[in-house]
Amino acid sequence: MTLRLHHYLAILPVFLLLGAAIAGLSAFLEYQETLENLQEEFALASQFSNLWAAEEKPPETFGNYLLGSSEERLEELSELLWLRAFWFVFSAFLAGLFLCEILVRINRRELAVLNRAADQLLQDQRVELSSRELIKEYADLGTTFSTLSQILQDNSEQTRCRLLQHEKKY
Amino acid sequence: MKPSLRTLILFLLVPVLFLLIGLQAWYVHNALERSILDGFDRKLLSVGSATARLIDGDLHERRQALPTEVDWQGDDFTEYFDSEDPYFIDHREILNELREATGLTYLYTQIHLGEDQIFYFLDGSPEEEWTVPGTRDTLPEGSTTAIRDVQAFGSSWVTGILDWDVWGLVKAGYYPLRNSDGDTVAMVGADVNVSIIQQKTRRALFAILFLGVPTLCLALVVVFRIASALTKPIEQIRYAALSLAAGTPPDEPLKTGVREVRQLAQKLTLLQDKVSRQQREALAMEVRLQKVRRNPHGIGSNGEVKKACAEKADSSPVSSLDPLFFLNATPPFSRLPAMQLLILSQAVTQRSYPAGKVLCPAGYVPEYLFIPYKGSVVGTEGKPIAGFPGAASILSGQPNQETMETGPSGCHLLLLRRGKFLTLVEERPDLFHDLQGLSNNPST
Repeated sequence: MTLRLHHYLAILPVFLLLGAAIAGLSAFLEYQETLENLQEEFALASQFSNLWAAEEKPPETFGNYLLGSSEERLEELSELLWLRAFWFVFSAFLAGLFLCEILVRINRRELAVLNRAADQLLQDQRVELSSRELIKEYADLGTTFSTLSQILQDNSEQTRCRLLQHEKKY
Repeated sequence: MKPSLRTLILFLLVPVLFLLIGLQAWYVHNALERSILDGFDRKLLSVGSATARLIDGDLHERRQALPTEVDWQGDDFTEYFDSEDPYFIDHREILNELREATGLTYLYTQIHLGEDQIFYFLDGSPEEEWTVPGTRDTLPEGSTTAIRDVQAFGSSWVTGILDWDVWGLVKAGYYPLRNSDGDTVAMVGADVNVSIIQQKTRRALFAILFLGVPTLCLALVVVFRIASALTKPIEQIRYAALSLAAGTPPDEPLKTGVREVRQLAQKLTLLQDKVSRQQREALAMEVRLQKVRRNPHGIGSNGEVKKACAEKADSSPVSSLDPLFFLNATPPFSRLPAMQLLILSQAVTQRSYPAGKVLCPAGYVPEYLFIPYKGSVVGTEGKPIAGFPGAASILSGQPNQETMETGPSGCHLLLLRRGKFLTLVEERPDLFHDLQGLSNNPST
């Protein structure tokens, strides 16, 4: 698994979940609000029904404000909420993607420095790391590599010197 | 102080999460507020229209009429109406019931006097808060146009949030009250206190913000997971490197993480192998040297070592030869002290050439001092050049008299750059005489 895939799998679900949760909660609240309004309006209509019973018909305005548009309102709201849910989830996805890329870049840069240091160790070169590493764990490993490089070189020279000194005495 | 990986991820993840929650909560809050206000708008107008139908417009018109000698400059017109009249009491009860049933704050009728002046007529407030008929009031900014439109054109109107001195922050809906001729004689006012709207929107906002708590917990879990997946292998690699530095290579293979960390672990494994190999080689070298020393019939330790090195050159890649021991066994370099010899062994380069390879054409000063340890270097007529080919030319600064090339069986050489060779000679002039002698005397 690559570093990028690992970050995507760890971070993106959280953001997607968050976007979906907020979209779901907002949809629930708004739908509930609209339903409450409609219920109130129906209750109001029934309260006034006696009044209209004596009349030929309820006033036009009353019908417009209340009962006439309830189905359309719910349909419109439903469409609006789906669209909003899409944008919420999409924006959450983009935010997660942005964060993942930042983390991947930082980690990759640090790991590349360490990989170069490991290559230098393999080629018997002295590892000299700059102190530009941002993260403690990587900086610690870098320092360990530097120390290891120094110890290995010293050991190698000491072994050769020791053998040579013996040879000289002989 | 450098932050740990966990801290870094936390510092990046949490603000982004909260920014996202904040922006989406703000958007949801606005949308819900619009929805709630829309609900109140509909309610205000529908209750207003229904109330207007409940009230007899003709009777209202007759009752609201002010006497001709009215004091227009006075504070109120309450003296012109009998608040104990059953007409007002009955309407107060009906409107109060309606107001309570619909959850509104105020329900009343009002008459526009012109400019920003009105007076209230019927009121549906409870008895203790009841506004007596004829109470004058000044319209707040933003509602004058609405009142004029309702009075003059008979249109309904819902205002924005109005700041009344007496009634506080309210949202009002106005609906015309008409007589039997269809003329607007007054208007029904239905108000809702903004605190009711704010309470609803605040509740919605808190519900959204409440998502922040589980989100933060989730973020912490994610941070822990990501950081662990990276730091555990990194820590393992570090401990392995420390063990290696302490001379005890770890037995356990490095557990792998993501590909980039795995590559690092593989390199460290290679390094472990290399260190082990070097240790084995050093040991083998020591054993070989000891064997050479113990040989009582040998032609001398230096000769044996040279022979061993040449045999090794035959069977192994050139890079596996240790030039240090070859030089130690080769006069006049063998007279150098250990540290100088070590430096010299690091300065030389090992090369292997096929037969007939031209090393330095005639008429040139060679770039290198050639130290053959297997095979030979020959001149133009195929005659082997003894000693160290190129030494005489480099030391004298004169161009080479004849072309130097490798012999018929090829040649393994140690190459020492001209500059380094001259430095060495300057430091050890006694070598100069020896090398002059070696170069001038081919039989040596």
